[in-house]
Amino acid sequence: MHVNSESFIQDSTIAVQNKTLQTRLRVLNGFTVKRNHLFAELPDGEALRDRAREIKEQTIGNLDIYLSQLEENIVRMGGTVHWARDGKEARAIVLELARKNNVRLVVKAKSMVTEEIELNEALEEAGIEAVETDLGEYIVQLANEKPSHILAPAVHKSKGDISDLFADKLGVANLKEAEDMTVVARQRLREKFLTADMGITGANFGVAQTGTIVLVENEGNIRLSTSLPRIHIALMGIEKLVPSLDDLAVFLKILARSASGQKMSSYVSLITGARRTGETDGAEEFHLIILDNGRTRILADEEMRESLYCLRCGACLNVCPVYQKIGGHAYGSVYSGPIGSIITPAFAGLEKSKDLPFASTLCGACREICPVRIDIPRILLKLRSDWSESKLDGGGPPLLEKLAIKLWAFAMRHRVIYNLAFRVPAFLQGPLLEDGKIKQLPFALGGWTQSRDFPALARRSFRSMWDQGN
Amino acid sequence: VTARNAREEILGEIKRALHRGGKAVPVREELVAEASGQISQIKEECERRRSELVAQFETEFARIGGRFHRATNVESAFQYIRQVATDRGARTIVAWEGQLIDGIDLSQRLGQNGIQLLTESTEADFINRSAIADVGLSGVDYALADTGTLVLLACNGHARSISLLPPVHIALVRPQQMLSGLSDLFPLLRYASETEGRDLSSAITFITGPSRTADIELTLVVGVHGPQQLHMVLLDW
Repeated sequence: MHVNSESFIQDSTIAVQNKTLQTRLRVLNGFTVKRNHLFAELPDGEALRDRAREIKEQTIGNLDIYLSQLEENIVRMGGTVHWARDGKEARAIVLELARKNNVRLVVKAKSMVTEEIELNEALEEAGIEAVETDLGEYIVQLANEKPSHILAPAVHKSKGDISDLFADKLGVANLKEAEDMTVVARQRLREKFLTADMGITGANFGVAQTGTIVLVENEGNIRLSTSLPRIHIALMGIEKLVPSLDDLAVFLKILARSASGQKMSSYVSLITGARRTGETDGAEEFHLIILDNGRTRILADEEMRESLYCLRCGACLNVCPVYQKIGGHAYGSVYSGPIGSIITPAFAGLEKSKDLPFASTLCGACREICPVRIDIPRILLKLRSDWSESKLDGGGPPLLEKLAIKLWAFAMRHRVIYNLAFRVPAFLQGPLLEDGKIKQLPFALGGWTQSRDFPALARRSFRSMWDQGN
Repeated sequence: VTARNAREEILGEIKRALHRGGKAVPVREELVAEASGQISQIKEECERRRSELVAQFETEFARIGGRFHRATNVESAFQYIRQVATDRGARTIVAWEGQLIDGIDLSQRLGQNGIQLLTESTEADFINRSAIADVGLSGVDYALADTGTLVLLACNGHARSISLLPPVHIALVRPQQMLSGLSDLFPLLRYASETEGRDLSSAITFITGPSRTADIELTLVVGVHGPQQLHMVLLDW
């Protein structure tokens, strides 16, 4: 997976000063408010989350069996299953199918996996037009940008930005309201749906027992992408399975509630194989591409494994104090926010994304809201520890930190030096004090006070008070 | 064009990752016999609670922007459909085939009002006609009370485009189709496929309200790619 997370410190420093961006992101709180309300009124909400996690544990613990079962059932229902070890293989499969069928125009539904493997770029290079059809993705594609939120890809843009974009790229000026812009997008995209040769989607779930691919949406673009073009390709990570339809019910009850604060999204499509004889619409060819792209590596690491339970609902982004300040782009990865900070290093390598596990206050809000209770803070700490232990270039603690720890250890073992180490600065700190706090530490220690104050050292230590009995 | 060993390699990696060396851990069994008892229980329960479920559906359906009409006779159902169509200045309606629509004698009566009713067997270029039709008229296979959801199973005569392409979708529902929720629906679908040997429909669609988006500043806009209006007529006679 291609990432630009190496410049996270610079990019997030710029983003954190962008008040306009933060105003945009504030609307995401609306999702959280509705989500909390819906879970509160659901009598067995917490039990459903436990059950969902249990199903994920069980399915992922038997993944090879369920994947084979899914494959067998899709083939039985007239579909074709392809396997791709990485993005390159997945892209090659899509391009080959497009070439074989003389495909010129592809309609695409929002899919994180296709973002992950940069499918659009590959299609473009092959001279095939690939149009994103989810309104948010359409906007982001017109702007030649990347989505900044799993669920609301264009959340970083204002109505004014989008109006300007439509004037510039579509030649329709002066659109004032979201309704007007939506009408224009509907018209433009409707033509594409009716003429496209191929529809490409992701998959929210694969149901092993029935060979069914499940797609959840609000706009109807996924229904169009799967119903009108002659060929439908769904791309799915190996982890997206549930054993049966009864298991699916559990997830459908919590997914829309967690993602968008809805009891059920407007449309859920259960696609089982290709169009049957006598039917008028639906794809004549159905292909599923099962993608590994680093997931088996995550599976093998028992401490990381639960990150594969993720439903891509986006709830953890909405509650994260870091995401709320910097938005999605600064993470430099298609997966942003708390979940992105653990799966980006897992997919792309810690050496390319070492700052992401540190981009967290460890407040635990992500773990609290996650519908399948992924312990994101624990994994963030594990990745931090991996980085500290790592022998990679730039890995391990900085030299100064090592030296400081050694001095600390020495002082701890020598009482007199320890006392001096605090008493001397306690006398000397006077000129640095401001409202009883140190706002800027001197020398190499200055970094610590860049974004917070240092408490003043007490005049007398606890130990000396103890010794004197008062 | 799966690279020659991709499948075996991925499955092998998974087995290695799970430390099982190819030995299968038993997968949970779902028993058909158990389902069969469950099925009659579900059916009885839904029948017993029918009026309660209809009321719950009506509340949920209104909450998500659907428009509900209870028709106690054929005339009332027809008049509602005619009204919705004429309000849109409709010329063409695309519809499901079958007893449901024939029972109201819609084709002839709408024809008298200058509105053409097309089905898959009367129109060769059905998809393109659906794309310019004003109204889509369908039945449903089930309705879910707890979320106000319509469940449609695609099949010959019940094209997906009918509930998708026109800007207005009217669904006709019989009270007997009302279930309490997903926990009733999936056992019924599974039972049908396991015991009656029926394959799962190529496309099962859950429709909960009109098409919507909040992609621009999280402002709710109704009617993006799918229908802007969703009506439900309860055929309650």
